[in-house]
Amino acid sequence: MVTMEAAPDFTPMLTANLGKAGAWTLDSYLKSGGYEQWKRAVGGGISREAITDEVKKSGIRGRGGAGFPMAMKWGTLPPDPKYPRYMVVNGDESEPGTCHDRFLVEEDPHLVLEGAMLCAYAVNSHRIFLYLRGEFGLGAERMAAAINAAYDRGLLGKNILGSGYYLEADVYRGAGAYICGEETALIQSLNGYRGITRLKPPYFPTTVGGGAWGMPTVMQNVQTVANLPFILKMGGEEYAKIGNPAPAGPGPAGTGPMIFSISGHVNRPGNYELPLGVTVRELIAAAGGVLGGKKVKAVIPGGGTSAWLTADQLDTRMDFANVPAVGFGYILGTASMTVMSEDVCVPHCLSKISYFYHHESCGECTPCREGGAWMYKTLRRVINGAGRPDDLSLLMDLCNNIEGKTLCAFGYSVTWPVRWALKLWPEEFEYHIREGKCPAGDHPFGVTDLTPAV
Amino acid sequence: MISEQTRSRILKARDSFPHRRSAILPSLYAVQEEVGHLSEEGIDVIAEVLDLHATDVFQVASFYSLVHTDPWGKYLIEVCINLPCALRGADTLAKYVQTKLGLDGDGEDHEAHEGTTSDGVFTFRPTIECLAACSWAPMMQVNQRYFENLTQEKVDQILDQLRELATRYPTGPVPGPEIGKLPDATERVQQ
Repeated sequence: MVTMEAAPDFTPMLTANLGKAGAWTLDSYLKSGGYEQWKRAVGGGISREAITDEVKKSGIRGRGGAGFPMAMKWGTLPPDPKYPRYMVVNGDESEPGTCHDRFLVEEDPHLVLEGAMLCAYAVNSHRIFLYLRGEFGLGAERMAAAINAAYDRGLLGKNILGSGYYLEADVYRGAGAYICGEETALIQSLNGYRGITRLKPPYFPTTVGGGAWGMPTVMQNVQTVANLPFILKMGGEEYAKIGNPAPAGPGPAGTGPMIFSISGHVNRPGNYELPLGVTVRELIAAAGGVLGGKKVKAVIPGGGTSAWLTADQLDTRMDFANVPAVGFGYILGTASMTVMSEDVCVPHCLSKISYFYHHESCGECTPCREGGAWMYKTLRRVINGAGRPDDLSLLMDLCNNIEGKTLCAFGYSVTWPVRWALKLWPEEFEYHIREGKCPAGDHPFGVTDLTPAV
Repeated sequence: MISEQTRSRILKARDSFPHRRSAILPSLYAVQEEVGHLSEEGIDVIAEVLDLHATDVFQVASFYSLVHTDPWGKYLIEVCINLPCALRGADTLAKYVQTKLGLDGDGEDHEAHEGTTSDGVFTFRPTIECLAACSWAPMMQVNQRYFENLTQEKVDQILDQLRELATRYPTGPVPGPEIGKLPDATERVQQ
């Protein structure tokens, strides 16, 4: 990994094993100090309360998109031990622009597994389900192999390392549905129903009746659990020194490292592990600058859901406080940045995102199911040169009638990029409607042909 | 006829979860692997083994995009054309693959481009769900194997080999593609 000017003292942790030959095998993982924290935990070296305490001190917030503090989530578990508890790892990664969970699951499955095991131990669960999206063929294979290897060494199973504690782990494969990354939909899917979101309350899967098979369930993102071995290794306080510890909302603005997926018009797209709080400009520089030395037109900071930053907002720090501070609709999300150069046509780019959300709506709530389709069709009409003068107000009207009127946050995902693009680049939409053609000519995405990075 | 082997896979799935309903999805995969798609018989067998109604099984099957009741080609080719890929020329790639396969479809809808070749070898889907390969775009998936950083030459090679494999194994399941190795970690981690 490159040492960053933005963070000269930082050494990558989560991606440290990647690039080694056979990094996904147990032997390789053990060689790099793997499962030491697990042995320490089940061996009685650190109690459940102490683990929770370290996690609390570390200030780590969920990496799946919502940024919910991990310790706070565990705190919502019912104290009553009569209900079995389940641990679910959310590996249904499908936010446009995000490709780091797949990377971890394929290249370092044991790190994810150890994190999940530590998490299960801390919350006193005896069953882990690793929910991976159906498209991760190789990931599911390697994760299943990792689980088998862990069973063979006695790291999983009955009476682990003579401690009396037992723990089982399974891979559960999804079958292609973006919405199953949403907590309640994932639980429905795991329960054997259509993956549709459910009415809240219960607000948290950690509560009785809210989780998998109605039992309290702790659900964490792949990258979140991968942090756990490091938190225990270096101690919560030390971990909290990485990133931006300024207080914000329910937890610090962003402590710890984050894998930033950078895609789009940059010279070296890829996954970059850096402390939270680096600026967008620094990340673009890390990725080798904008393709062809062009200027930036827009940057998506947090996956398809988020509104887009403009060229004069590149000094925004990427953490849970500074991205949302830009405006309502800007989120850090999965910290996946998509960079668009000055050559792109905003309505065309927006229609891609809009099509995705129209296609992936689970169909539960009418505003999102119907509104999403309507929105996409209106946008398509605009980019195809058949736009009508009142289409912009129609789009805004649709935004107002979808946002906040659905069961899950998907409704916001549909509208945020559209709402802000209409506000920031209205002239491009107007040009399309007025002239019946694209301001970017024949290549609205800024490239003329296939443009692989290597 | 659903084989005993598949039946026992369904049985095993039934006993792996706190509730038998959770075994639907793994069972659907099991049937699909044997038959090639979800046959009516397959759905009935799942319902029978799991002691559920066939509609319980079917309602799950109809929700997900990777399980399907209509027969597909031997190779499912999916090209991601979402924004991060589009910024790297995914539309050109989708068009190229489509032309290469001899499939037509010039509708405005993305779905209009879906299709299976007349010889039943390829099913093509310019899929919309982001496939988590954004940093290595343009990409495509063949039977859940990733091919990333694609050029026209690479696509030609991959398709030629798949055609050849399909001729070599005219009946029954075909082996997966062998060439176009996954970029290894060293390539994918930025050095």
